[in-house]
Amino acid sequence: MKKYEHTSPTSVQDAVKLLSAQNARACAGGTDLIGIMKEGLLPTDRLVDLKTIKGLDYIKEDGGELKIGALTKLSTIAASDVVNTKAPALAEAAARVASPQIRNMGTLGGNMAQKVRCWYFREFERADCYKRNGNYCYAILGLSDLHAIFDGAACFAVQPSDTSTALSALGATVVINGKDGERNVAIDDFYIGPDVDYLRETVLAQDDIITEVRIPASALGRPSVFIKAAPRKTIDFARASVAVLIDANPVGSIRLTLGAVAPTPHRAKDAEDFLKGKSLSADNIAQAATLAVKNAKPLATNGYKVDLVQGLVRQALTRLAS
Amino acid sequence: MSENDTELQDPIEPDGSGDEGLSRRRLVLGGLAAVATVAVSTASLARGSTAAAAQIQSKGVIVSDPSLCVGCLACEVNCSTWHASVGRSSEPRIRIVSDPSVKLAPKVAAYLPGRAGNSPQTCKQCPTAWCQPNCPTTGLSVDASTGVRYINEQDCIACGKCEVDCPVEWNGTLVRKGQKIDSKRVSYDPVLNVYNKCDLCRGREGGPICVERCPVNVAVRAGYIQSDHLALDVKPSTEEQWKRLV
Amino acid sequence: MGKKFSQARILQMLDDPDFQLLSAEYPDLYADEIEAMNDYVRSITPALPEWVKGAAPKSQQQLKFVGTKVKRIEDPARLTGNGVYASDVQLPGMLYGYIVRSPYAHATITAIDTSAAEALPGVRAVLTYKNAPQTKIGTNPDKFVVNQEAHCAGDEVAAVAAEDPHTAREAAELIKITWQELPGVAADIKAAMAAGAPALIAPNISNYSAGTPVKRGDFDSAYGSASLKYEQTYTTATLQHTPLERHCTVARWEGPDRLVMWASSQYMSSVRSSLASYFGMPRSHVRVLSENVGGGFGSKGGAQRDAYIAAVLAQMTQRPVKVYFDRPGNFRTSVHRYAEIMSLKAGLAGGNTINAYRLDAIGDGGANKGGTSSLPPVQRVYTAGNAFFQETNVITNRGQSGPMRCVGDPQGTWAQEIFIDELAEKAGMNPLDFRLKNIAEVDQDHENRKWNSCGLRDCATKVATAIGWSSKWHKPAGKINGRKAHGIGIALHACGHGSMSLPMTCVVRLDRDGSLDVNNGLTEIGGGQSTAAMIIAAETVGVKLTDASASWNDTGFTPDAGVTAGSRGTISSGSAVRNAALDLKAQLLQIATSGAKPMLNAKPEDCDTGDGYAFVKADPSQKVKLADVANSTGNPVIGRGTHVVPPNTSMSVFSAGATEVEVDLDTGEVTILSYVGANDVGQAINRLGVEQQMEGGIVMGMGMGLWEEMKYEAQHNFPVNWNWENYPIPTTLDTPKWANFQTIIVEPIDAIGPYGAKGVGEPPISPPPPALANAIYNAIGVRIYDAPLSRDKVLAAIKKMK
Repeated sequence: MKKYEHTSPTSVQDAVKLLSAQNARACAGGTDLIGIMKEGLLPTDRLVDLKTIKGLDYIKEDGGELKIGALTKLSTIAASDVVNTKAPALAEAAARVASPQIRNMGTLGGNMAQKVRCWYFREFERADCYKRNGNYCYAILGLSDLHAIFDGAACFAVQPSDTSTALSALGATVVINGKDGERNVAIDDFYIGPDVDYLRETVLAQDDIITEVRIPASALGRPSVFIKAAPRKTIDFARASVAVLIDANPVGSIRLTLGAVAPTPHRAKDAEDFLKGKSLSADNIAQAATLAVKNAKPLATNGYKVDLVQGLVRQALTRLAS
Repeated sequence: MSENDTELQDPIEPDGSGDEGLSRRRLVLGGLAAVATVAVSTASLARGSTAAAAQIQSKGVIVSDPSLCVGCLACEVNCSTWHASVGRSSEPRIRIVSDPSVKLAPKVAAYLPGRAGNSPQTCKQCPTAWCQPNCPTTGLSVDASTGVRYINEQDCIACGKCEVDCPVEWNGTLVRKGQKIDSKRVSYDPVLNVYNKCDLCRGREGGPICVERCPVNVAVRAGYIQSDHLALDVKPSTEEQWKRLV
Repeated sequence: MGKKFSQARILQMLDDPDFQLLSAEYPDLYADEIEAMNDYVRSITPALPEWVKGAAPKSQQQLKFVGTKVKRIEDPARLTGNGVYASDVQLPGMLYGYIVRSPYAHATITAIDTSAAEALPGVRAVLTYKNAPQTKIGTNPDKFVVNQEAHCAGDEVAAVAAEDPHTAREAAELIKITWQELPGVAADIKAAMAAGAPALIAPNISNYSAGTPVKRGDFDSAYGSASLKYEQTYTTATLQHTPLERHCTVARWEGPDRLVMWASSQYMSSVRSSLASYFGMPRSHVRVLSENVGGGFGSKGGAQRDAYIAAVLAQMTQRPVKVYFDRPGNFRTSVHRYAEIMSLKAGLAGGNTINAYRLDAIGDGGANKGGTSSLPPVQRVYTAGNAFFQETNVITNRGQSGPMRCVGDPQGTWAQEIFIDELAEKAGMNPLDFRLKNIAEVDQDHENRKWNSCGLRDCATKVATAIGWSSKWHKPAGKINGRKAHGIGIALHACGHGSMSLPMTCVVRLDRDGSLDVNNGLTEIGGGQSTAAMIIAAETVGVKLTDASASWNDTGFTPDAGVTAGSRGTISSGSAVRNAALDLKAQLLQIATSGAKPMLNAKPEDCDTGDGYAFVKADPSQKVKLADVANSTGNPVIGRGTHVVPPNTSMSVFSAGATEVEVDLDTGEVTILSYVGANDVGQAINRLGVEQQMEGGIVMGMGMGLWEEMKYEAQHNFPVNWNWENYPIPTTLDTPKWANFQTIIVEPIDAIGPYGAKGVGEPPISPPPPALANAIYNAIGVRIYDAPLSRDKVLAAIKKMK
């Protein structure tokens, strides 16, 4: 790893200031960033260690919303009674991130803002790929097992965060602090595709940090579910995942998000629209699963994701129906 | 669609002396543009000179073979990125439109059977530049040297006459997120409040970025996909060519 | 078969650790050489007196330590973090090496600029093909320590030594290389065999060569007249060893011609001889230490590139140098398990008897033309009077192929056991019954000689009984509950690993204080062979286990005992230990019963030893401490032993596995509900060690079956998943629940190995992949022929379900 300056701010404002320097990077649990730095994928001159900021790890109900500090560890979220009761999809997603060791280090904010896992971006040293500020996507005509079946645009890497899928279904709001102070961004707007900017996966600027995630009252205590499919059940990144929130059965309102199949958490709006006003019968579930992949355009070796997503949607809706 | 034309040597390769349309804005932007050496002609800022040039045919036009297109949107994204990097509108000037009737050529289908049905479309660089004469400023110009019809965005007052005059529409639904599109091939960018259209990456060393970076083109050039022509290419803009363009 | 060798050639082979390595990993390929060497050594080794041999316990009941569960003496240091691995070694003034690797599958360097790297503060040496010693390191194609031409992505082309690892890596990145890419083949093995394929090594070297076929009877006519014919092609992937401790060597020059190396190696004596010959020094001037090795699985056979580069950088800088591959480097270089394409063909006679059997296999020899073979299981497990088996070895620009746990046999077993399952179905038989009907229990390629021992049938029936085969097997896709399909599968396996191979030597020493030590030259890589050696020596000499120990980590004091590979540690090296211990025992009894005032008034053949005493068999109260016996000479007593295989011996190791799976029809997820593995180990020396080896092998086999696969991309001839993220290996949490994971030790007692033991390190890895494939078939009724059984393939198979 190349030399860098390590800084330990004690306030959000300090952190934002420190992050304005050239190639400054925010580091929470570091489980993703340190690997990226070792591989030289992100030039880093200054590391801003957010862990020294006190008071950003909490889970609380406040004003009807569930508020989770960005530095809350994934293992804490997975074990939290209130999250398990009020927003089970998020608890399940946090529990399925990586391994116990990584969940003990990794934070909610860090998980949401992690870099993509495309194997060309990470491993192919010759890759002058878009994520490396190059001009080619090797996955398009190469091996795309990990890649997007929806919304790929020039770059086909997928959003790897499990919590992002759950938070999308839960309709969360992301509280961001930056040089202009605090702002709230709806989860649907938080993630951006490569068509907007292929060098970033979120709206976060270099000197922005996530400070809090809010789950709205409308989602709390409602049935929600998160299911993930990965090579091993114990550690891997999702090859596909699904998170669903419904208000009731028959369905009045629903948010159905697919993970790891698109550059951003992918709302399956056709399936959502279809299910509104319907009961979760076996037939309706089957139709919704088909609609969820209606617009899928698989590459050479990720066609299995089309089947996988349908299976996951069926499983998730079946669980909510029972 | 088959393209067998051969006389295609860099029809729009920039040559510094011909780059008379260099904008005031680009001068301000300085080093951002890829144009290295330009001679600034004050005459080029006069309306008369561009009107006279309007009858020149464009040396080049972007042509596509939908049967080689896998809808990856690299053309759109790179079009946006490059134009934004030189201070122009970041709206893509080339769009991939859904066309369920398009089948993939076997050599492409062998790799990507699931990605047929794409039709890349952009400005056809009409032999008669319909978009140009009613432009009240020097916004819509014709490059005196290459004949490229292009928009000086800093001169564009967003009156919309060029779009009204443009004879070609995008046809249908964009591959990108399934959005409907109903504008002409000269289209409006609400962010910068300007119109934009394909300018064949005027001023870019290496020619149009979409042609350079289309991954199918890359694979064809590398011999990985056997094809005697590219998915996206620059061809001389002839009357005959124009008729064939979608 | 039956090749003859000159004495000079035999001596050369005996003295050549590289050959020892090859023949241990490919015992079938080098059967003639092994036999010739054994014949020669047997003819020159003094025979032990018959009475000493006869003193061995007659039955398992008489054994004190052998066959019990003994905590491994190697483990406490490792488990507490106190064990020193090569990667832990820190020496005063030590520098750190970092290696520059080719990003291309096949390319040559047209220009290289090291000035920026050399200018970086802290850099002490930069090694490229321009300043590397012009001595080959003897692989094919011939290579120098670093090279101008790269034959696989990851090939070593330059190295840096610097004061700290980060500087070394930064300097490596500062080396500017201009590459000229050359035509290569990595994604599609068969492309290297196609007409017009580029010459991958040199214009005059063919990319492929067909091995000598193994023939029996007349395959063609038997196949022609078969009542039922079937053929199918099976493939396996390129696999990685990924040992926890990556390749590592620390080299230190002590003067201009004395070299000491701390090596993470499976064969320290080979590292010694290879480096001695590389630097043109006597072997005695090189000392290699391998106290603890964090896994090898075949990838650390002899001196690997880390050893050469460390030694050269240390020579350049006159400072100790550590070269410790990082994980990406470990994935990129060293050897890999070779991919195989195997076409099987069989003709049944009488409806359910295999009469004609043929295998045409293509093995990916990789960049440096590693040997390939997938034949042994296909030769051994089933009776086939008319057979034709042939392996073709292909050079490609994948990483160098080489041995990995059981070498090519899991590949052959993958093909054969799915094929046999299919044959059973076509013959209308239960897969277990069809197997038991066609099982072979003789060495068909050596005049149908009886195997020295054969527990194959036992292994098969025991795993079937333990898993409940008769009640649980059902018709394919016959047990689907909701969206979960239950399946059960079985696979058998046999191979030459764990049978006897080369002659080897050992020294066992009884000190004057009664301590027994085995000077075991076998490198201890985690298999527990040192504990096994200690058990054998204590049992044989007759001392308490607490008075025994084993030393293994230093070529400075241990004789060459061969490579720790081929599942041969306990059996072959153990046999030398036993002979050395018998020699020691004979000497002790001679001393105790001779002299002016003998300590025991009896002939040596009427005495025995036990519990640290020598005693008269007829009157055990007449006894003397072995320590006193040794002390009476004023010297330690040293027993020497050489192990050789008796002539005309056929040995084989057998294994079976059965598994139950649940396939989720929505997501294609495969859950292993239970696994039962059985191994014929002859006689367990350390029962605990055997169980551990079986469990480890089975879990590794599950990885091969379900996930592991290097994925090569055709357009860039490049593997995309050289890391643990996308090359998933099983974690502890991925194994079946402990209660449903069972190992069965089958002990038919082999007369040749020490106390009848055979090896166990490798064969347990082979049955799991095809057992899983067969179980998935039983669950969903659709076959998958290509390993691994990854999600995409299972989902595609589910789509084909009726």
